[in-house]
Amino acid sequence: MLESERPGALVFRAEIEELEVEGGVATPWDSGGLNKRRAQHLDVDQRKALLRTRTMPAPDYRRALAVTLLLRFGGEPARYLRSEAPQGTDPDGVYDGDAASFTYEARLPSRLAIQTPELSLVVMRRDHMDEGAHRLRAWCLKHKVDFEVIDENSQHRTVRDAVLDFGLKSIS
Amino acid sequence: MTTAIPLSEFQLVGYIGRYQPKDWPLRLLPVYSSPSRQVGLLPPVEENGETFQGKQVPLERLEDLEEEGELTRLPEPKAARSNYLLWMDEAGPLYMPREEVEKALDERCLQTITRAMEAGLNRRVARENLFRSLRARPTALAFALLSLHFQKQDDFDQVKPLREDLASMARSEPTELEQRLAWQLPRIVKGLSRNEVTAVAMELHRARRETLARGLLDAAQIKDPYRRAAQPAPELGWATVGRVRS
Repeated sequence: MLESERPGALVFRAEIEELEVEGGVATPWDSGGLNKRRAQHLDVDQRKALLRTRTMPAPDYRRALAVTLLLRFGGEPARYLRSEAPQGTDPDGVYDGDAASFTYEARLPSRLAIQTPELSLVVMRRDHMDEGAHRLRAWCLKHKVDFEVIDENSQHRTVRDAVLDFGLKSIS
Repeated sequence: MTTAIPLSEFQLVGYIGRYQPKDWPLRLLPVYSSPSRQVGLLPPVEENGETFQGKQVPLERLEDLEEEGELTRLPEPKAARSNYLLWMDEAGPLYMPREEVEKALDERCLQTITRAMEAGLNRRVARENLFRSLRARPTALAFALLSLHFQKQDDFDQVKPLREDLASMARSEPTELEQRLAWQLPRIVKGLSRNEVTAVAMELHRARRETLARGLLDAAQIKDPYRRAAQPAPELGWATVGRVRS
């Protein structure tokens, strides 16, 4: 989901969940929000139970995500990527009418090396480039990984546009 | 939802990311909220006259983003203003008229190049300052100096992206700020050997910043090897080339 513009973005191939880190999980909402602000009609124990029952292991959660994309976004993944509001009901009552915040949250249990063969795209705003971003760009050049710098002369106007375009091309 | 809302209803509450004053200079991505409408506004925000248009989210979402480390709140919200920018300076985030921010960024760009040269191009502090300069404004001179810095460290992998940037700059005319950099050249060459001056000039040629490259060589009293190659020697002027004496 691409909710807003950001200083930069990293896009990895899906295989990273199987090849680089074990024990990844996903939930059909933001788990931090569930703890603090969402589904407040449920007590703490009920929210914990909901988190337990709705947590799916990676990569199996992708089947549930595919069904969600079909049923809630009319089979158009682009609508999810554009952060459009989904169709249908909110069975767990988690979103409290804020359907536009719908998201799948995937969590990896440990830190992830960025410079991996699964890194497929880096996008960074020129006015946020620091030495770390520059070194990553040099690594990407050497390993033939796309790195797009967003500035007034770039193909895309925002990091969000660049990632969305990449996602849509990958889907098609 | 992206309906246009009068900006008088908004207040600036923070910015995207975890940036701190140590990261100066930086244009920040502002996040607004409208207490009357109970919505937040995420970037990119388009300003159209006296209205804002952008992605509206419930105020709770701003709390989620803050917890996830994607949003930094300002100590106090500020009334949203037309034609203002939020940026990070050494002292912290500043919300100022666009024109003043642009001027301040020009100054930071020049100031950090000077600081880099005063520190000595080999030093880490020089590298930090050149990256700061490029965040304020991308200039061929800062790219060229940074390229030389990495060459001197034998870190040639880091030189390649800088040369890509120099080559892409060749498609555009030098900015007014780059022309102003010419005034700093005598101070810049002071910290460089003759070979280093020539190396920086060669990098500037990649960006077709011929005037700047020539100015640099002149300041160091070095003959421009490019100029000699591009023009025929005086005794073999264009008027005489190809003519056969009768």
